[in-house]
Amino acid sequence: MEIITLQSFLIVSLILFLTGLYTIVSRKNIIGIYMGIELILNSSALNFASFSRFAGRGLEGQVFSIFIIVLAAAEAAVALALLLAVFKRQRGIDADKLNILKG
Amino acid sequence: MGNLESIRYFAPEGFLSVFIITFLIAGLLRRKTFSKSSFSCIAGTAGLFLTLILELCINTGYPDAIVIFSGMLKLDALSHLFKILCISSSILLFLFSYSSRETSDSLKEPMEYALLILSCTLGMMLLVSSSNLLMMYLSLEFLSLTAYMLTGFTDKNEKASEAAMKYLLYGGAASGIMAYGLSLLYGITGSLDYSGIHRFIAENNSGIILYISMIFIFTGLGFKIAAFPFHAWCPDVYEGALTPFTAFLSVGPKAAGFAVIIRFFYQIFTVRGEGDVLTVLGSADWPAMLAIISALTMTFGNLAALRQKNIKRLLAYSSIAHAGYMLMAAASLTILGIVSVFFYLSVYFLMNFGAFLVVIAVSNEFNSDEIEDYEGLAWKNSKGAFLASMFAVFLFSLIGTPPFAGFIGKFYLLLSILQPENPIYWLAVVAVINIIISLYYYARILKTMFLSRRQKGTALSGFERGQYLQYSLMAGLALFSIIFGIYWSPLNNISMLLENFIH
Amino acid sequence: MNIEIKEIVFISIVLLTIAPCSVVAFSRNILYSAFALFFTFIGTSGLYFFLDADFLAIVQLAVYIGGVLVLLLFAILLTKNIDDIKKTNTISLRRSITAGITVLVLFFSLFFVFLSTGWTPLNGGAAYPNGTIHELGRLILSKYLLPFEIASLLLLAVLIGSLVLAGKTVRQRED
Repeated sequence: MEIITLQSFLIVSLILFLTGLYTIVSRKNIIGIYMGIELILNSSALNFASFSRFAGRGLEGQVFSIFIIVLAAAEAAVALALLLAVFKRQRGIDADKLNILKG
Repeated sequence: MGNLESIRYFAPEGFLSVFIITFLIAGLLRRKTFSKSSFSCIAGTAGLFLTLILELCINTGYPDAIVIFSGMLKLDALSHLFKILCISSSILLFLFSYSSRETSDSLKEPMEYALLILSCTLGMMLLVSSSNLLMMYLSLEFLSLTAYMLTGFTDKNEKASEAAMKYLLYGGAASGIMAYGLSLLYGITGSLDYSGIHRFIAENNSGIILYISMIFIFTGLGFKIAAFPFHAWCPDVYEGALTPFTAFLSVGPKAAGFAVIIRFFYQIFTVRGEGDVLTVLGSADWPAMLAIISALTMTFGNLAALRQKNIKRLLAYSSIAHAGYMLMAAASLTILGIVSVFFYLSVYFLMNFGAFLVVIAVSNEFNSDEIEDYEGLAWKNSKGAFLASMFAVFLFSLIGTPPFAGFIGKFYLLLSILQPENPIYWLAVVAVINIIISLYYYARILKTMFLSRRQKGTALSGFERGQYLQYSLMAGLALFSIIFGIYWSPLNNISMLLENFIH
Repeated sequence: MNIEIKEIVFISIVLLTIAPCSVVAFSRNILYSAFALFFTFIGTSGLYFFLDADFLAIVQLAVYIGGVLVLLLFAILLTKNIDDIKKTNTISLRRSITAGITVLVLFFSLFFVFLSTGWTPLNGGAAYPNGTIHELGRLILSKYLLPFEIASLLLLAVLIGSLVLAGKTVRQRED
């Protein structure tokens, strides 16, 4: 039985994706939620790279992965800056306490 | 077309990029001058005006579309018209910020504010013309990231950074899910170009996986237009951000979102057959998906708007409902549908910006956005009467009563889903019911302003010298909302350029 | 069934990637979650080597671990009192049940869809034994030149914006 196949990579990245989704929905801490987002981005980058390698889709997939990583870093910078701004006001970063605005 | 030849067609965006960098350098060298918010706003407006002129002069990308930068961008009627809409909404954002006291008081770094608005505009311009998944994702993120930062820009208002954080968390999740969907689409078709994907889907049967990837991708796109169930950020962000930016957010990025939805679905998953009949390509029935989402979006938006006390939140829910109406036309799978989405967006541009401008003017007076402050506004003094009557024009247009432009827009939207080739009767019924529901909450504001004669609350100041820009903008927007309600054929002719956008 | 060394390594890297995910999702201590994320990122980087994506693996190590994760750790340390770190990453029970059910349903449906889809290889399944850096560089500077340049403008905007957003905080603390 072949182990290193496209399908096994897809399933690994599916697990990463769904764990990320679960983390985003269930966490209360803003950084915790943000970690979920990072997991999702990571899984999509992995998906792109595996399609690029196994299904012979050319290197474009890897280019996309690089851009995902770059954008994730940019987003992390914005997230940190906003986090500091929120923290200054609330002395805490519980997402459930973001309640000046009622949803 | 290769990179070097493409630059000629890239002039508007290229100019804007150069302008951004020049603006930054000039701002660093002349900090004193740029720290006046009026100067930064005027400089930004000037830059955007030049971009708009370049866009009008250079890009005549229709009827034949031009593909530039090896397939990254496609210049056609869709990108041209939506770019004009997006640039105009950024110009209005600058003018609103210039004339709003809330903004000029709380902006400590106007140079950076202007810079982010310019970058946001660049993101929108790229987004509406991108015809490659990578370019689309990148420019979507460009737009989103600048929008997060602009939402949290003020520190006067304690809600702002919180709203921005919420926006970022929802937006990050949505774009992550979208990236996963894009990876699946890439895996199925092996191409990132829209044309390559189109070709693959036309030749192969791809099964259920295509549907799954489409749903994931729509998460990111639906987030941009605040469609149900990706709307949760919308009221909070609208309430927390500076009001000029809220007005912008409800028009500019939404228009860009619709452009990218139309391009994505109509360019990849649609074929134009005999007699201009459009048919779905591939195994996924996306018009049905869009139709269901649009019905949910408008119903949810209108029902939630019924019990709002804050005017900005009310307009936020109303903008969700309007996104539902427009998505309905996008789901119609007719050429008239695309045309009417643009027609409605340009009408919506007039009436929504106008409504928000009244909100800005009133909140400059009272420092609050509660609906009860509008009580008896019409009877306070001449300025109150002016503001109230302007607001009435915009609200009647938003409801969609003749003779205002909103009526014609809604008429076109409904007409597009009742076309003989692909009618969706249930959706039309849902839309009509929704328009009737929306009557209630718009009429409630009108009632508060006109029918209550109790002169409660603070007195209103008279017309001010420095605010004539605001009044004339308001009057201009109202005038056009009425003109296009009576004589709409110019706008219709412009929208009709979209007819040839699918080949 | 004979398992080669390569496959053993692969399985262990997969485990290294997936196992810490549960810590990220379930741990009540945010620092543990952050360090678990570190192992997941390293594992993903290892998986990239199996995909002949050597450049991507390096970028993953440099940007994700050197950039994003360090930012996250900074964020944690800047915003939390270290004494109550054990209860810093709580889970909302109501939401976690809904999320759990959704995720399980999604997992099984997508699992079968992935296995049943053909994923027809195009161009005969190309591998890149000589490394991808050369080819990637050519691609980024030819076809993907525009996104590359736009990404730099994006980073500029992000730099300025986050300076303002975070700088405000710093300045107000000094006052």
